[in-house]
Amino acid sequence: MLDKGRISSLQLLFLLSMTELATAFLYVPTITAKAAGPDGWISLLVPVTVYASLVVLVCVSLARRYPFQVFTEYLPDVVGTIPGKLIAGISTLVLIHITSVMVVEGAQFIQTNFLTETPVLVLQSVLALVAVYGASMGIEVIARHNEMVFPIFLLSLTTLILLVCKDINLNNFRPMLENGVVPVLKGAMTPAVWRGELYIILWLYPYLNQKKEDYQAAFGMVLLAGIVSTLVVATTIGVFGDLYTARLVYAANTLARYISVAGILERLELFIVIMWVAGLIVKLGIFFHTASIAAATTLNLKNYRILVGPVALTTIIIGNIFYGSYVQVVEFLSKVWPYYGGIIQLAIPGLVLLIAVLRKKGINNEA
Amino acid sequence: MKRDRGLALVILCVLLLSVSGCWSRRETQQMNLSTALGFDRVMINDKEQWHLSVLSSKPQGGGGTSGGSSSVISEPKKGLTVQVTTVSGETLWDATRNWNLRASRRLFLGQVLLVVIGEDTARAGIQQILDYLLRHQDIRGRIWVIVCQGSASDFLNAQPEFEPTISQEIEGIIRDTWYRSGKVIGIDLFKTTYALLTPGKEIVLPYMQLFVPPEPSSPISSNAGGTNGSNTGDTGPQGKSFTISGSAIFRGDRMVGHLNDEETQGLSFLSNNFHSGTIPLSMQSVQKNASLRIGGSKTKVMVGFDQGTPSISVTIKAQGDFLEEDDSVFHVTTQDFKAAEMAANREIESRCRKALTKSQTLNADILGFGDKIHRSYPQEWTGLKDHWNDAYPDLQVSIKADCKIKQTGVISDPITIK
Amino acid sequence: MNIFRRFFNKKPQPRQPDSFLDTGNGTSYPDSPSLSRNLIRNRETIRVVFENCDDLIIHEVSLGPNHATPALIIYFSSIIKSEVLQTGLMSVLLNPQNYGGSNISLDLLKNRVIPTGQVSEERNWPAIIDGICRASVALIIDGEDGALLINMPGENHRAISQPITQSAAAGPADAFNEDINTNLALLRKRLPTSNLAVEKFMIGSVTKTEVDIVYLRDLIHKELAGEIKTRLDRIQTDGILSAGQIEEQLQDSPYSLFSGIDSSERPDKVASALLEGSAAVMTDGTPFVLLMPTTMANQMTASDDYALRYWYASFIRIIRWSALFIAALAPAIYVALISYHQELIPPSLLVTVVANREGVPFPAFVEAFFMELSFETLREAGIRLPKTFGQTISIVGTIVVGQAAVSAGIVSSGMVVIVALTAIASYSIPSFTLSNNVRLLRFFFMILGGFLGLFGIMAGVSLLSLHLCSVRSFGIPYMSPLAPLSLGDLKDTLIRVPNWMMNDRPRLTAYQTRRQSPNMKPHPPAPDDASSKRKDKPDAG
Repeated sequence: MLDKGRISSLQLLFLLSMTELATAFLYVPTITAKAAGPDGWISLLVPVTVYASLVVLVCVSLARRYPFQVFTEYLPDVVGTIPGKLIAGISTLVLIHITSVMVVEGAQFIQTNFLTETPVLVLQSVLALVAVYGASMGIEVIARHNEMVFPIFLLSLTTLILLVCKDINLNNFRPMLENGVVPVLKGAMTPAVWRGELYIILWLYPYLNQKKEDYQAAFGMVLLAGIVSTLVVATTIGVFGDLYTARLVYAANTLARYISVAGILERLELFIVIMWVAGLIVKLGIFFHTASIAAATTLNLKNYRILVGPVALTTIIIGNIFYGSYVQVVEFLSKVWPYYGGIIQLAIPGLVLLIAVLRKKGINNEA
Repeated sequence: MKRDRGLALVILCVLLLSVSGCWSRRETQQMNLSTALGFDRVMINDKEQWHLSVLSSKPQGGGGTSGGSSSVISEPKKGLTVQVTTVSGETLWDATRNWNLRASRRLFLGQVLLVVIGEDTARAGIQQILDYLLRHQDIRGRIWVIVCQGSASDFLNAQPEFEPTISQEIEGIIRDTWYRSGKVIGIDLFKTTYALLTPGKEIVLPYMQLFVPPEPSSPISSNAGGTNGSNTGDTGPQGKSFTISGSAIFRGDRMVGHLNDEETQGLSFLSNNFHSGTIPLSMQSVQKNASLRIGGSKTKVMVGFDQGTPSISVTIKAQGDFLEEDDSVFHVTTQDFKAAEMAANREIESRCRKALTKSQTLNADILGFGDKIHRSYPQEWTGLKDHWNDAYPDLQVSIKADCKIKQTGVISDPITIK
Repeated sequence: MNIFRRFFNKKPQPRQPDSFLDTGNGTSYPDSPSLSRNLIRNRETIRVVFENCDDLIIHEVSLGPNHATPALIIYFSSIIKSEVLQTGLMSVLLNPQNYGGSNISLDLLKNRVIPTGQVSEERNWPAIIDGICRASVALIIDGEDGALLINMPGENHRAISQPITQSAAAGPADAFNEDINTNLALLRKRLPTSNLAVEKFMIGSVTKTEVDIVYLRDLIHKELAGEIKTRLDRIQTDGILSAGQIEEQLQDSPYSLFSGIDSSERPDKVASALLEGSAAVMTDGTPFVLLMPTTMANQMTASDDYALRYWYASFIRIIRWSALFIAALAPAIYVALISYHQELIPPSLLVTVVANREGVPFPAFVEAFFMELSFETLREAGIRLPKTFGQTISIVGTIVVGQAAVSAGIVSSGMVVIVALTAIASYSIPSFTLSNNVRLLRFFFMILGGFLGLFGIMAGVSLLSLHLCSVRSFGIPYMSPLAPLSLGDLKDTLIRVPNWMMNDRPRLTAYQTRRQSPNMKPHPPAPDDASSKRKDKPDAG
């Protein structure tokens, strides 16, 4: 194993939850409200959970067969050397690709709302530098840092939701399922692959200390992230109504700006900034680490740390070229990402699992 | 090797920071604090021009001693001067950036509390104004939106009577009137947008106008008298203060009419926005001779469908204290309580009916009945929604008020004349 | 270009000898290591070795029952007190009746004559010379090739007094001083157990500073003491004068701001750390004792927390942790809010702040930097202030830096408030090293806040947090019990639960974790006790 660190199952749960919640609370309400109307929160509760559970089942079963290796390490063993290396390379490139979208998203929010004249590149570089530091220190450091950050993150998010509860208008949720179930499913497509990003557990599994608690951690993440993001979407739709939410770019920020309790508690988007930067740095750290490990194992290198810098640089460059403007990001997220994500999170690991079962590869423990 | 890499990283960070040069830094001395915005659209030579009026407050003080005092510790002079500046442009953002053609400071809209829209502009349509406000990253969703008689720039030039700035005064007026008399419904920017977006609901905004304070000792009119040499005729806006006079009704994004105080109170009852207020009653006489102070009221709107025709029934449950009477018409007996309650119900229903009639005449569904039908009966709504504006005037609405009198103040029976 | 090459190319150095001590750093020892039986030759060796040491006394005496044996008594007159020497040694040695008629020999002297207990027999020069240098009297007898070293430490040190930097309101007020034996005595008084192990080391070829590793034998992990020993052995230098020099050698990560080693002046803090499974390193000549391994939670605890009741102690702990954040982040957040995020300030406050800053010539960031730097200078000056000027300078400092600067319009009064608040907060941190680190970090965050606003501060906080999570102190993660989360140990971190709830030692440091009986919760006596039977007894009187 290239990284000597170890993480506990609770740390794994926090890590995976942070990968979803860090960006979800800002972008998901808009996407679901656009597609599903007032029923956006249902799509976050039911279809997304189903999809994510499938991804958990596939990925953890596959990872259990090779408990001390990462996905890209045992791919050649399962499907053969050449196809294995090919798929491993594709997985690495995919990881770099999706990380580039995150980097762009991260800096764009700050640049639009707070530091308007600062070039986006500076913000991306600062985020990337901190994340690179974390990633080269190892997954254990990121996991420990996240263990401190995530409860505070969760607390801030729930406090904001509680403070805005008094402005919820229950009429905004009616009529329920006005246009049937299809919009709900449509609204679930992008959030599903966002929650499906837990497929990076394929790269985190070797570092898990308590291998028996893997399902607990993964399903726990599905549940926790599901409940929290449903609450966020439900609150946004409840306060703002689906038509207004569908037009917002940064839903949670507008929600936080709307909070006014007793005339004193106002201007709470301060916490949104704090949560956003802290969460995004953790998420970027995890993804840089995963991408570097994937690249290092694909190329059979001994040291993954030298790749972290180039990976970060690549993501920034790709992000600025392909996703520099808002319309590019939106089109990618709504049109391409659901199918793209579905393939890399469910289809490919599912196929690999199938082949592994058929060819009887890997450790087979039923316990 | 490792040390060189660490060194390179540090140099990179230092370079990054020194190259950055803090682009987004806004020094407080370079900033202009504005607390209210006014929008007017005028046509000059058949070309549309937007006038943006900005109410800025300039704090004074800090630094230097205020000369002459011998004490070592001196207080910095603190004060607030307020001024209104109007800039114009072809579009609203054009006007915003044209601000710097005249002013040496940056326009900072993060503390704006109030948006004032002139009546003519409101009649022409406010959709562009709302779009500008919503897209701006600094402007918050909770700011008050009002319509004023005349032009917004004149309005913002008026003098506040009780607070240092107009925005604070208007904020206080709207809030207190809303909560304490129900004669206005305070709408923030978000709710305005919500009403605009939602089919079956129309915008209602508070309507304010300027007036010359009639008190001879009022500092405002004496100010005006001082500025004009001969005060014959009308005084400029500096000589006026402002007051709320009802609400402005919109259809879509255009203003179509106006509700007066009583009608707005009825509207508050109908839309469940009434917090507390006074209902004058007439008991056993034509004139109003008694008052009921309502402490809280709840309104339920029920939608019924009768062969494809919707009908609405509104039930208002209120409770209050009987706090004033003339002619000793009211004693603490069950019959008098009942009589007072019935008088109150009549009065509330009449006010609500007035508001409803006005809105049906103007064909503006300000009460959101269409929206209510949508939420409760989605299938029927799909048939109605395209011609809702035509169907609305014929909507059958039954209003029923149910008032309960709880207390009578500190004395019980009236003071009878002996 | 050749001008710069000198700075970048390393000059070829002569090859360094392998053993550091061979370079001549250290004491000069004679060539032949062992004594000779001839007294004259020994005397000559002494004279050569201690050349120009005018305070060395070489006293020729004649010992023995018949005053027949010449002997040398060698000591430094500056170290050894003459009364102690006279009563403790000379009067005994020069009295012929003490010898009991036997022939004089080192064994006789050591076992039967010399009254003190700290006598050792040495046969080689380095030990004898070291002994003379370290408050021993050397006794060389003609005809023997060994010498006796009689240890007579003088009391040339400060009395036990109050701690300099770590006072407590309700706890004990005795502190360590510069003498290592006094310090050991204070520890042994608090931990009178045979398990209190003290391993002595001598570090520094010239200073030969005594450094002791102190620990409770049955409580620490076995590898801990060995690891400390290994790291101490790595120190090859000529002099160690303070504990700080050792601390830099003992830390896990050489470049980090956080050393993972705590230092304390208070015996009660050291004793409680030892009881939790840590080890202490004491240095002769320094009142500060190093404690390892440590966590940030340890560095944030003060002895007061255990001396007060748990409600108030928990409240004070929360305030202290908030003070940590304020001390590091307050100026940075102020600068960021004023310069970048004015919409996050409540409107009335913003009006006041803008009014305060009208006419101030510098941007907020420069103002903050200037104020903080001047405050640090003031603090540094305050340390070196002679006591007579103390009051004057403090008044001048307040007036000059605070009020006059505001009146002259150089800084704004809001900034003075923030600086004062930050200074107060930084003094609430119990550990001296931690508060120094926080002061440094304050500038780092101020720069980030001044360039990139709140975003920069958050990125900096994340960077710092990632770094803190990677620091280990002798294998223990520095941020435990917060991360990795250990709920049992959290009982003593942010709040302090009652004493009867703290049943276990910290999981990672201590070897044996159960500390006390779990049934210690106090309760009033149960109703069916003997006290109820006393109801029938008549009252006395």
